[in-house]
Amino acid sequence: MQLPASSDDVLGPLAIRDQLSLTRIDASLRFVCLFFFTAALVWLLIGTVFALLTSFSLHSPSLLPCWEWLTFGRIRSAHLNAVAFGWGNNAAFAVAIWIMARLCRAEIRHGGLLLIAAIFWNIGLTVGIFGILRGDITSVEWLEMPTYVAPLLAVSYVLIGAWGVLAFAYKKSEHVYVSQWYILAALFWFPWLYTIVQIMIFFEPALGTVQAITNWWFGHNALGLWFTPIGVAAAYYFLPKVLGVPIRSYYLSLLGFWSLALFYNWAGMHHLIGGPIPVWVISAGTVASVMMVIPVIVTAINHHMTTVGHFKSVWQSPTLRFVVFGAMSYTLSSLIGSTMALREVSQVTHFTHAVVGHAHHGAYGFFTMVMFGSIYYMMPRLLNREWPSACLIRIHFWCAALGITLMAVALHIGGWIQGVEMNTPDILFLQVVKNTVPWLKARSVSGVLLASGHVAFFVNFIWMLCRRSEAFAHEGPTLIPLFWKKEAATDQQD
Amino acid sequence: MEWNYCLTFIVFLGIFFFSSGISALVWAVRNGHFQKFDEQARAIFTEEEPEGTHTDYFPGKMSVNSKISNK
Repeated sequence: MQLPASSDDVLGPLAIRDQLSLTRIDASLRFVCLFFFTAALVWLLIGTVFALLTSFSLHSPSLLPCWEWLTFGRIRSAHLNAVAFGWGNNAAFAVAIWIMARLCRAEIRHGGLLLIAAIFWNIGLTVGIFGILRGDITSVEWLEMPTYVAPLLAVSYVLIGAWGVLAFAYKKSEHVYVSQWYILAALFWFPWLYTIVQIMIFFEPALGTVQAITNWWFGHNALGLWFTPIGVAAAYYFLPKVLGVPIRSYYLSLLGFWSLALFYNWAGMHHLIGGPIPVWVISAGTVASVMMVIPVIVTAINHHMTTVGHFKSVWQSPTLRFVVFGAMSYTLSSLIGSTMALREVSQVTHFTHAVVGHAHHGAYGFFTMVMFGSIYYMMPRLLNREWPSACLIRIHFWCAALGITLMAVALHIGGWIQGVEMNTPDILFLQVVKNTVPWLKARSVSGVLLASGHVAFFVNFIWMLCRRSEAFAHEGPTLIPLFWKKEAATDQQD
Repeated sequence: MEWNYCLTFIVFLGIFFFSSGISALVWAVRNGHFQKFDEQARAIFTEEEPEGTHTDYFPGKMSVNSKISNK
């Protein structure tokens, strides 16, 4: 392979200085990010097992042994907490802090403390999910983990989030990019949500239905003000980064951020449509949910216009295959969500599988796919090493994309039929339940697809961690040009 | 703890978070983050991963030479 005589020929001396600093930033985060990703993937696999058990037990109730640890309520909640706070949070922490550090052009200092916080987060989570399985589960959705782990989780989160904020405070770059806005905001919003909900529901419980309001204020905002901003931040970073073109309209990206900040925190009340709370609270929630169309459309237009003319490049990049799929799902699931927040629509979809389908569409189709894409971009740069198998990446993509599409379609249609039938008094409830079985079986098939994709991803990930760098160098660089590696190696020797 | 004290604490925390948001907006306006959009949109590119270069491919699908000619 023909290499340039020196990197000066290609980039010039100024470039090398900057390039080394980026390499250093990646190096400063290597261990922490690898820990987060490994933990995230282990939780993803554990969560997938819980998911499969839950899904199969819905259409084949006699499949699981009569053991209280495996009852539906417990494994369903163990699944939610394992994938949301285990997979989602661990991946989000790594992606957010890595993007933040790179955009700030600042190394992460005292990474050891960050690593300790990360370890404590995962210890808290392990205790919490074990607590759910042994029966210490609370009855509050999205907060099922027993209250004795809440302080540990809150302190670990604040410590991890502080590193993102500190990186911003000591930034060396002149500009602030929109991803930094999203990440900073998310790092502020989540502790605020978590602390308030813990106080108002568990430690000093509010009276009556105020608890329900607080519950859904948290439940919806955990998605909208934590996972969504991190996912959108990653999409805004990786789309233009991989394509090598700036985002089409930076103005629109800022409009999207501030309108999301203004509207999303009201939207959770649509979960209580028909519930015994003041009507104006529900109306405010519905209005805010519909207003969410603004940031969603703005983001969709911006992403689409940036990608136009580069569709071939999107297909050639593992990162962008996942990120673009995620960005498209964000638009679609958000628009469906705004529709489901209307009173007339909610009368049908409420308490049906359509809500479950919608939650997976957003949390998996959007957030998880963007995180997968981010990991495909970050890992080679953290390890200075290539992904071992392109085939496994393709298997992962097709299993994930087909799996989540099947799940979203099956549960939305099945849930809608279920809702219409439940609103028809002539149909017996048992018959309504029986009619959902084919859709639930379709969901299990999609679960098997997703699980296969996760296994492919895990194998590729572990293979990449364990292989030696030199093993692939002679075959030619793909994600990282070889001369960058050479400079990095020279830098390390210096 | 009395519920009223608790409520006061929550209200103060709310005021703190709300004013942080407003301060962030004011800071952004004063420091010109709502101007020079072109420059900020290019903040993600460095000499190492410059504008005009695709930086991600499937393993084994891209060589250094084609990457350089791509620039």
